[in-house]
Amino acid sequence: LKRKQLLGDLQQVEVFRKPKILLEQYALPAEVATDILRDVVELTYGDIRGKAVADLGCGCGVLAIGAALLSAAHVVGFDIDSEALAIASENVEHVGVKGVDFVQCDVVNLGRDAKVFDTVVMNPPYGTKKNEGRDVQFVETALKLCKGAVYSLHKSSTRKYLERKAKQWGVSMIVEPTFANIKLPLPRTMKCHKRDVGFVAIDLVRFDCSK
Amino acid sequence: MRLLIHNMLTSVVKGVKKGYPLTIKATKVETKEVEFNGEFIARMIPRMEWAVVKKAAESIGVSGLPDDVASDYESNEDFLKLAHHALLEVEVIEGALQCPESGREFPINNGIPNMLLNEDEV
Repeated sequence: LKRKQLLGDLQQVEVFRKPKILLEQYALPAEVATDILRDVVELTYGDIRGKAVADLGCGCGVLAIGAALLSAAHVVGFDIDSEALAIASENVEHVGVKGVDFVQCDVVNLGRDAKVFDTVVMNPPYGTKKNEGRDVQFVETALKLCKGAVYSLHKSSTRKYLERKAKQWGVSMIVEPTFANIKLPLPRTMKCHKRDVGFVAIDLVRFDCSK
Repeated sequence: MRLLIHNMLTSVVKGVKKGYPLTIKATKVETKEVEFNGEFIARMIPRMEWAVVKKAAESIGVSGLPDDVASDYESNEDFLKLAHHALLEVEVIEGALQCPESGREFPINNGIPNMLLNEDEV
């Protein structure tokens, strides 16, 4: 799938109408989602085509839909918020992609301890505000569900901490060089934002749980 | 909700020990053709609780699954096609999932199961 086509499809994906601050509902820009999924997850590692893919905290579904467009065999998006999932379902219809399912749940409370998925791609809450530790809980859940690799976005400032955690979990962790310290825009979507656009430095982290 | 997903969902209501498998109470089921990918199904089979797949399939009107996974399942196309149909082509659109221990029901609307718990259930 050509970059331009994937990007075009993902740009059609609608984002949060009223983002919820506690859930850290920042939508990932379509360009970033495109490059992460296509260049890193699929072209570098071959972790999408024909795979069972999960997106934890999928929000409006941009990563889940992108994975399906890149020929994942099956994709499941998990999110706690019914409004986000309603938008995500509309997005699936609108983009016209197949093989994407959604489950409404608290991701950290998720079911059977079974490694059902080959790959997890996710943009979890970064664990700010009243959410401290949520990012790490998401990774722990992802590692439980996944037989292959977990791709997850984290604030670059937490890199050292995550490295220590990865050691405790016994998984190898690398920060993807092309997605280290990338500046993600935080649009002024919420009342507490004083400036129009802020930026946050983010790493794309790959945890390898295949060993 | 496809059976591939049903297979991994549990009820984690406070006090419930296993909460698995969830009973499906379907009011609307749809069947949609999905492209067959035998290699993918073969990879998923060992990750599934087959007895749960079979029982769940029967509860929504999909019969003909064998009691056990075929011993040569990786190369047994007939088996893989049956499994493919049950796991990916049949979808519960409306209904509920019921916890086998507490009886708590989790609604399924528009194909999406809602596994959220109330604060006093966590």
